[in-house]
Amino acid sequence: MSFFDKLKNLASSELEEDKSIVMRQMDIVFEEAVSKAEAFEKLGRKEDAVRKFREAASKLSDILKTSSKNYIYVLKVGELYMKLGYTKDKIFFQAAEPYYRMIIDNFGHDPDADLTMTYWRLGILEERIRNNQEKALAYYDLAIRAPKGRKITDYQKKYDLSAVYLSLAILYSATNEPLSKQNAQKRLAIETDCPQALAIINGYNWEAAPTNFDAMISSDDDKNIFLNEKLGDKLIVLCGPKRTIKVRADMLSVMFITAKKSSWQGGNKLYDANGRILKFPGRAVSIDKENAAKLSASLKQQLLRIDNSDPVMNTFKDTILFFGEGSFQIRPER
Amino acid sequence: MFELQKRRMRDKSLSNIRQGDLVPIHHRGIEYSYRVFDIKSGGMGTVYILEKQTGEWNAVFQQMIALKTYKQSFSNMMNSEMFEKELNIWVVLEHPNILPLRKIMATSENELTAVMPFCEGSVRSLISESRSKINSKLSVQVLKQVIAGLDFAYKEYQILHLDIKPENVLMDSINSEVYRISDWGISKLLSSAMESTQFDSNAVAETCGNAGTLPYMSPDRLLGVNNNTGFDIYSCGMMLYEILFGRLPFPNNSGKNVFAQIVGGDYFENASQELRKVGNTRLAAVIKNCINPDPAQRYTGYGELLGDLLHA
Repeated sequence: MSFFDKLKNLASSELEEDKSIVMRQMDIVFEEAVSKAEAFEKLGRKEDAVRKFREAASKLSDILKTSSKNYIYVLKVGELYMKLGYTKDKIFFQAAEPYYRMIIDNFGHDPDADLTMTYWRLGILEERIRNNQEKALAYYDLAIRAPKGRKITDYQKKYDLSAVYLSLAILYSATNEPLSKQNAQKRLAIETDCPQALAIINGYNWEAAPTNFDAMISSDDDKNIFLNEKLGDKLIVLCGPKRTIKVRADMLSVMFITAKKSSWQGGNKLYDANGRILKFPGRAVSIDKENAAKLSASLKQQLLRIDNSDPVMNTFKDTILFFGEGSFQIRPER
Repeated sequence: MFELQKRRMRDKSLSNIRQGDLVPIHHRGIEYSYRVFDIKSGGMGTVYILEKQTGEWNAVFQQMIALKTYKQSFSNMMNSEMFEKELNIWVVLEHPNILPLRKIMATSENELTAVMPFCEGSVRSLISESRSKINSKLSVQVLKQVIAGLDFAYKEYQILHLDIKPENVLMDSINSEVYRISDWGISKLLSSAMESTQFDSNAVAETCGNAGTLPYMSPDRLLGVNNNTGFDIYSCGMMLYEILFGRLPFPNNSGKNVFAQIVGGDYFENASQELRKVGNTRLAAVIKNCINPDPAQRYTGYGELLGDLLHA
């Protein structure tokens, strides 16, 4: 009998001692696999990360089939599928949804449960899966009103709420500017350097932001630039005055298209004639802080596609901050 | 939860941290408070030993943990790139005899930091603390585990460690009979075995040229001859010798420096004489077959070495 078979047997036990063994083991499986997957992500190795997430999701959901008595493990499996949705394929969002629903159904009155987090996720899933903003708003509202779970620290509650405020700020930006700004302000009270919230506060018109990048491509030069968007996970190294960062070529490319189209970025030619990886031999480029915020705001569609918990978003945010630090050199990763 | 974790990982830079300082670490919505217990600085990296003060049980953030980051220095960029290469190799190595890389964090200054379990001590401390010679049974036990870890890294990923020495073999803090290989800083990836994992193997294969710790480097390696696993087998032999005798086979009074003694093969004559005094002749033969200056006379693979060790 394998270790996981033993664990599955224990999971169906009614004994408190057995339950506690299962909980501890699930903690270990979750932490080890997810931390390792996140380590792969940090190193830019997406496929390895996805493999680890899948492995953990499959093991944990298997155990949950026999025991779903503790909401935290249901939440963990949901989170794993959310993670797969962001890193691999949005089809995994659909796999995540039942776990959050299970929390509401089975643990809605559990004084320990983190319902803010759960409702926030359900709101995101409504936007992602069904594009149902009305229902998403209802979930965000529930998330804000949800009581603090007994085991949730003030610290965690605060940051759970900050995530909901950002989702609301972005969602309202199309229909209700004052409400959008109000939520952005709440977000900024917790996350002072959030570029999206800053852009909303600065009054950037999200509706006027470019949404169709294909339509923006007119000249051959533009076409070449656009081709770079298809480079996917290729990493580009940016050497700035303070630090060196790595950014995915497609993300950088999308940012440059917007920057160039909006005349925010100096220089005439950003890419080589064949549309290959960004080549700037000895050339420095920069986008100032103000324009970096505009740039982030202009990428509304990108932001909607990838919300704040997406690793790509993390890189994106960091890249914008980096742009504001001064001129930098670009070189392909060795 | 994941979002929180990423946001909070951008913690304070480690470079200004001193022994005794409190370090907050944020992980999945929970704040863990650690006190810096010890700081160990090596050639390229710094390891911080932390002891938990507050925060619930967690599989990664246990009572004692170690954080490793690259050393801030004039050659910062190179160190950071080398550290990233180390992380790329280390992250795939999941074996009971390899110190696991639990997590990678990024500080506010974008320094990558590896989180690993705390280990009580190394084989070096075992050698130093032992007043009498360490028994051959324990030596074999250490080496079998090291070979198992190296064999896994080589078979699965074609990775050579290239810096096996007593300092880099650590004792597990829970079970002191378990030994784990650490520090893959100058390790080398021989093939494109990891290509499918989106890993730039060519970049890693360039790592460090002939870096290493001189007394544990074989003559062929110092002379630039390619010998794959033979390099690590030699280092293992040297380490085993040191565990048994409490010293390496380089006499101070030879009038030659260590490099000359290795390249000239003098060490082998000295070692052979000493090994005649070892009661366990099989173990003595294993060591000789590891550290023979002639690569052709050395073990050609870990399997053969492990087989002999089992009978030693």
